[in-house]
Amino acid sequence: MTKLLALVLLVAVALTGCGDSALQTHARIATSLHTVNTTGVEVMEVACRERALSVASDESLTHAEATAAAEAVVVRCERAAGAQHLFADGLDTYVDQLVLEVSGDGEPGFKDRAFSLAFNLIGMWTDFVALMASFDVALPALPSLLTSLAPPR
Amino acid sequence: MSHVRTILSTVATGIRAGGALGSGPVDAAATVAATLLDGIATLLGGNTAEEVRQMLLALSRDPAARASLLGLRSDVAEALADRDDAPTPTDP
Repeated sequence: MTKLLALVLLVAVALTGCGDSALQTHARIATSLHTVNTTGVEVMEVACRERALSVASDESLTHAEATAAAEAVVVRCERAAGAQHLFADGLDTYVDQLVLEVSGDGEPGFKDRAFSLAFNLIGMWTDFVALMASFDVALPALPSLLTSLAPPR
Repeated sequence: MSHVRTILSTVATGIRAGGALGSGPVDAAATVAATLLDGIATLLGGNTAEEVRQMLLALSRDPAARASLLGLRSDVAEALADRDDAPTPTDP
């Protein structure tokens, strides 16, 4: 059922280009991405801090082991933060372009790009959730209706 | 509730788009179905173009959050220094 709805959404947005209906869909996608990002960042920051400090003060490890383990956590978190920053940059660009479009000042060709930009952002967030899940950190996922739209990566 | 509204609007748009590709009874049935769904979505409260514009403006005024790990390394260093087995600082 989700795949069917996703297909309908795909067709609907593709056929309507960037008219009012498509802009409404894009606005809802952007809002969903913005919401999961805000919550996800908070969860990630807390999880990284807790993991790193927990390992650093784990007395069952030697000092050298704790140092190495804590460093590994910090490095992993820094890489994840880098990926998250790229997502946030992309989301801001997407929103800015949509605002220009809705104000009648959109760039030529944006109507075509908006669709793939939205899909790429959905895919980036899905990858980011998977990355943090491999670290046993559960980030908020997008509605399955949206993730079904993301191209295979 | 808003999810239901979105799905209904989307399905209605999809059916209408599909109907436009057909003809005769298919087209008519699609139009009726789409109108019904649109009606339900409207009852649930759709977004006007102005509401969409306001929604996007609100988003643009609130840039996406960036994860910050500021201070994490120094906190880790402090936790390591507080351990019972932490190396004693050597005198200069």
